[in-house]
Amino acid sequence: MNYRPPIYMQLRDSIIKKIEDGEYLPNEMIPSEREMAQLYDINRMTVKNAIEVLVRDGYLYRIQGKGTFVRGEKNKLLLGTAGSEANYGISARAKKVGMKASSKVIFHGFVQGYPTMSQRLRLDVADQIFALHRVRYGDEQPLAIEYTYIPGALFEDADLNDYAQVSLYDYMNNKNHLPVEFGQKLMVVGCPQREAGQLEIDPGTAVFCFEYTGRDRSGRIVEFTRTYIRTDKTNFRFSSYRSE
Amino acid sequence: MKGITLDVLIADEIRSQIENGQYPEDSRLPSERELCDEFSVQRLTVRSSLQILKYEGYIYSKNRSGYYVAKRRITKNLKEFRSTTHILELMGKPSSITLLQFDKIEADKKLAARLDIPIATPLYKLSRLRKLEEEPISIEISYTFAEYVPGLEKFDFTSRSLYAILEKEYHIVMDRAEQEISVIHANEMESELLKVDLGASLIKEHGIVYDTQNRKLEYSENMMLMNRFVFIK
Repeated sequence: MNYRPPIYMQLRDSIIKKIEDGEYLPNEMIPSEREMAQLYDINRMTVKNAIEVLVRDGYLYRIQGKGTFVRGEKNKLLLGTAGSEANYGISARAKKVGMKASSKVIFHGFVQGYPTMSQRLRLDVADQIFALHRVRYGDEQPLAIEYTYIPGALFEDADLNDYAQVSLYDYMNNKNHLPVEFGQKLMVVGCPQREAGQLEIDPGTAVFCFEYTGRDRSGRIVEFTRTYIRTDKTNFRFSSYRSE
Repeated sequence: MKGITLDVLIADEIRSQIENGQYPEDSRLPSERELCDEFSVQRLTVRSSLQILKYEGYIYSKNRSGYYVAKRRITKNLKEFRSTTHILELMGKPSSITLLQFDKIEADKKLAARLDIPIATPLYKLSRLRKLEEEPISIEISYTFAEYVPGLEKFDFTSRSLYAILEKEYHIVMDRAEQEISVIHANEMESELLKVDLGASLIKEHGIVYDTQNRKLEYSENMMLMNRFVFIK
């Protein structure tokens, strides 16, 4: 296929690449619009467009009268893999980097007849499962879509909360079944169509797919979540230790 | 079922069948018609389930002959710090290494910032291409402080892991790593070596490795095929 994206997109991608490769370091000033226009022999408006998109997407920031700078990793949400970090995760982390965090509930309710999920939660197929599907936003931009399932029997009134406002973990904690230990799995996958729509990206775009199973203090499985997370907005950080 | 559509439910069912090893790698998945019978649903539903799994890289299609199960992902444990060679040996899948570059270099501004050292500090740069069953799976680049490992160039990095050499020959023992995982887009070199399209998404795992004396010893950067790895904890 010989399709070539518009010049401003080519420029945008090359700047992103330079940030990824570390050629432009965090808080470093990038060449001015005039310089780039000259360098690539392109229209200054084209450069301006590319820069504007990158500022909007959080790769760059401007200081009036000085220039345009690389925001580096700072605007990317750093998700840990430890339970408290990863799972209290997205909204808390978003707030920490100064983003406005919000959620949209796309589905909540009790479901039944989902054998794979029953198995994951170690339940009988006939048992009720409470399902909560949410889109997580930072500064009004979608970051992640989360599919959470918890055993209905332990959380009979789960349906009464508004999870755009109330934290699911606060509620689970009130019920004395807060997950405290997590089994986790992280992959990079192509985003399926439906999730891509919610995340406002093209289907097939690489996303983090993060699955975790949470156990409460007594070791009982109280949560299974699968979440698709935009990779242009987040990084995962972890520490690993030598093993024999 | 309200909220959870049948295609999602069936995709999840097939996904866990694949994960549980019910279908071997590269084996043909039952046909759409067979899956319709198995789950008692319409063809469109099954088609949509397969589409989900195709996007996620669990299955692939081959010249209209149906869907096949993708290769199993290599499991990397996020808590345990282990060489990839060792992980693959444990999986019974020995990998081969091609040496791309081994040079003594001076730290540029990026490396200086990462390792917290002055610009031009001498480092050994080691880049390797790892193949599994003849297929390239990752490019592994490592920058080690030259001061700690004089004469590193004498050793053969295709048959031994860097960490094994450091331990055996220099008595330097790796202790822990602080790493980050992000997604990047393949540049020309990466796309050529890993046989992916220019701009294709790759996993980048990068970080600092500390030795038992808590010294920053190495900065490593691995560019990995996105559908060949899974990280667990």
